[in-house]
Amino acid sequence: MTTTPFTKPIVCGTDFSPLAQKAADTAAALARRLGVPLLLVHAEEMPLDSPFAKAWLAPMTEALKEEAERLRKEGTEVEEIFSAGLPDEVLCEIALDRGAALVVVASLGRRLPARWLIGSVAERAAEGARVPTLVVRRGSALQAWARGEKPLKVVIGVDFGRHSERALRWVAQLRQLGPLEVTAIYVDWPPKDQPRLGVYAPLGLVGNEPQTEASIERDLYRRVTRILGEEGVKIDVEGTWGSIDTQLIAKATDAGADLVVIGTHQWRGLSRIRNQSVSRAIVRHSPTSVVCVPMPEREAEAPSGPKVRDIGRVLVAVDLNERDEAAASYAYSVVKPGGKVRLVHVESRAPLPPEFLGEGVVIPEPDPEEEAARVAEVKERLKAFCPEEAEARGVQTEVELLDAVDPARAISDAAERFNADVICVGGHTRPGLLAKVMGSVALGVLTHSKRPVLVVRPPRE
Amino acid sequence: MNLSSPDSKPVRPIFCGTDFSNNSARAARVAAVFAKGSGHPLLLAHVADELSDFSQPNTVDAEVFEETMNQRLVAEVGRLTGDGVAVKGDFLTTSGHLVEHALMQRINEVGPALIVVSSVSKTSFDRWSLGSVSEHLALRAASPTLVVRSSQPFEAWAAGERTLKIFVAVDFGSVSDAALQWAGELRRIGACEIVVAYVGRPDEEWKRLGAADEVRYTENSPEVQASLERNLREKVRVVLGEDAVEVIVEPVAGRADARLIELASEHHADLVVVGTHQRPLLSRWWRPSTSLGILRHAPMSVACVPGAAFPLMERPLPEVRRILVASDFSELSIRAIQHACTMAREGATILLLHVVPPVRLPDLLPVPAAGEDPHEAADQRRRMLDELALRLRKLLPRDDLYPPEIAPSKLHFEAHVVEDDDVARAIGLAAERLGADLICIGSHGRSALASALIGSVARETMKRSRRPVLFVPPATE
Repeated sequence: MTTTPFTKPIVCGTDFSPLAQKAADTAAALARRLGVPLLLVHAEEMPLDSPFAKAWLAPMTEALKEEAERLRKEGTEVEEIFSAGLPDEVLCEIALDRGAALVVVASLGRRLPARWLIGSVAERAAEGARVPTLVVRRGSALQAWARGEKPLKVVIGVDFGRHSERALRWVAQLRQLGPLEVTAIYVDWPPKDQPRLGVYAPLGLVGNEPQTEASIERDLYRRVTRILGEEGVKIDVEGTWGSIDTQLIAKATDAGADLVVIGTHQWRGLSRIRNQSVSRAIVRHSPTSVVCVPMPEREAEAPSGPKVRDIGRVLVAVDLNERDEAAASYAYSVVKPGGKVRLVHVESRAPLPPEFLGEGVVIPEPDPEEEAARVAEVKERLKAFCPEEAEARGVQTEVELLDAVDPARAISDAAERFNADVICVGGHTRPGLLAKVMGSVALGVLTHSKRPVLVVRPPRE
Repeated sequence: MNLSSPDSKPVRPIFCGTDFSNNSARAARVAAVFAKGSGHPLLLAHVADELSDFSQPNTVDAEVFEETMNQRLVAEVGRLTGDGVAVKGDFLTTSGHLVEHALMQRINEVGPALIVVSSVSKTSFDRWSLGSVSEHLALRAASPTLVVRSSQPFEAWAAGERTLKIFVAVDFGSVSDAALQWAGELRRIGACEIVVAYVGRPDEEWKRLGAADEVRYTENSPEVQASLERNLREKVRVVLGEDAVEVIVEPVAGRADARLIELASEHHADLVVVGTHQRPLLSRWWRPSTSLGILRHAPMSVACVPGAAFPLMERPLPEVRRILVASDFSELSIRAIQHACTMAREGATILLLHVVPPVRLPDLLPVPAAGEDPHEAADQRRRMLDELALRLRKLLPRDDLYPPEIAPSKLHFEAHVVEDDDVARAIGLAAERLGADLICIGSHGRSALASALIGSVARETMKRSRRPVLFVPPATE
């Protein structure tokens, strides 16, 4: 990405309706702000070279000229393009040919039957174009922003995929042009996100568990601010059992958004039905203007692998009974200065289920005071794993005590919650057959977790 | 336990055992030098041993005897006091045990920063029958033990008249890190000249490193020598920093301790520092202790540093400077390379490794027909390996995938192609040979059952190498 992103023309489609005029006004305002030419496009679905067509289309050509003149009077550099073909295809083609930065279309807001029959140019353009598409509704706020009169309230719908990263980067570019008030909204589906984070609390029917929410919020904040910086950025996380798009639109409306930005996968054919495009639903239903940001063609077709993060968060599993100092010191060694290390110790103190205990056997509850003292003592011992150099490197240390039957599972879940870039475990390999039967915690973590795992064995003496 | 932090509480004294002999007086003077240089107090201990003092007639009351000894200790303390050293006397009795037991008990109580004792040269028979106090302490105490043979170099060093020549005998284990670290801390007291030496049997080293050249028995093969020197220098650098330290790697045929003493004498060392495993008696018999041999036979002073002298948390953080990445050109291994780059700091080296199965005679290597160059097949093979190395280098990740501060263009890359049947073994050997601090491999998160039955390169590597291994899972989306 270059630092001067918008040097390319803006493409705007028009059918001369009042709504299209509004869209053209918005596009022109943006083009003026950027100092780039505006390509005003009108498409007709008939061949242009027959004599009949010439007579038939004369008023259309005239109208396009008039519209272009109207915009030129306001000081925009306009090029009018009259083309044959389906409007959305023509728009996408021109955008691609001329290397446009943005496609601007109006939303006609057709009702259901008509949408079924005719479809929507806006939706099709948003799904077909290889460049971001702006679907204009109520363009006045955008125009005011383009004139530098007021900041623009932007809502970004994000998740943790590559596509929303594109959307974030696009907003970052937009921000170079004028002040924005950005709200990043992530709508999650608790049945999926809560187990992913290893939170075993009962699922609420409304919203997220506080622990889940805090965890997601922190990850989201890190993701968003890494691209947008911390200034003027708000984070909002909402759990919903319903459809994501509806919730997102409701939230955007509550936030008083002028513009909703969303990354689009541009699913095609069957996979669109399977994956339930969120962006399409938002283009369709949002009362505000919407920008759909696609993956650039190159990356969409040949993924070069996700971006690699530097190591800012390391989770270390420490077994207090074994010699795990080596694991801890490597964790502090690989974490970047200013990063975070979380030391986790897993205890297996969960009581047996009653059916294993037999009649009348009751396991006494531990004395809460003693228990608290014990936990404090274990945490103290965990903190002792932090080497002296950590402070000099600005590395923060956190400790966590877990109680779980399966340590490997608990560790990989904790890493999910902590959003660890690397999990660090000590490797105590059991000899021969025992290893085959029981495995080790390190191997278990390796099997469970989808994150990089650093296995550190105690050094040779 | 380090000498450099006298303000860490409680203040750990420098412990010196004395029997008022000339040798002991020398040791006490050296102890005072260290106490002054590091700011620790000096604790001078004497164990009154009724049995050993034959000059006393048997009829003399034990109280009188103890009183005499106590006065001698007070006098010795008085001699050492002054010049900014806080000296305290500690009068102990054997209470029926041996002297070394009484000393050991006291040492365990005070946890000294350093133990200084003199060496009384004994014949083998004496040592066998009476034992040696210095050896007893060096093999058991959790603190470094300095056995003094000559005090003159230390006193001149403390007076700033000369540099102290320190000879550190190391291997590649963590215990010798402690020895290096202790030697490094002496630099705070005065100017030091440090030589670090490693000796090993050429054939064993050749096997351990999996070198590709021919094995030799009286000297190290060039590849082995180069690899050992680089690895040793790297190890020294992590502990002692970038300061100029002489590093020597020598082959040895017989006992390592004898060769090391020889080398130390050649370098005119004033002090030999050696790490000690403090193995118990039986395993010492099984694996002869190098540190004990040096302690016994070296003509100069010797410091034995146990691993416990520096708990892992007080050691310098391990540095990840050389990362070995195993690659088979799959997408997963490309990911492994990307992640390896995030582990590296600026100036680190990424070692790309590709393992190909070796050609076996005679099934794959065709018998050269008449008129054909018999070396052509081998040449062809070599060209193929070179080409693979070139392809490996093309796997380097692009800069724009990374945050600018860890851009891969700031790293060094080396491509290595080796021939081996067993990929895990090849990775383990290459890690030893190339001195990798970390091994990075892609790992398919197979289910527990599948991995138990099939096994995987990742798992095997973990078992074979003691170095940290980073497992990189396939991308999720």
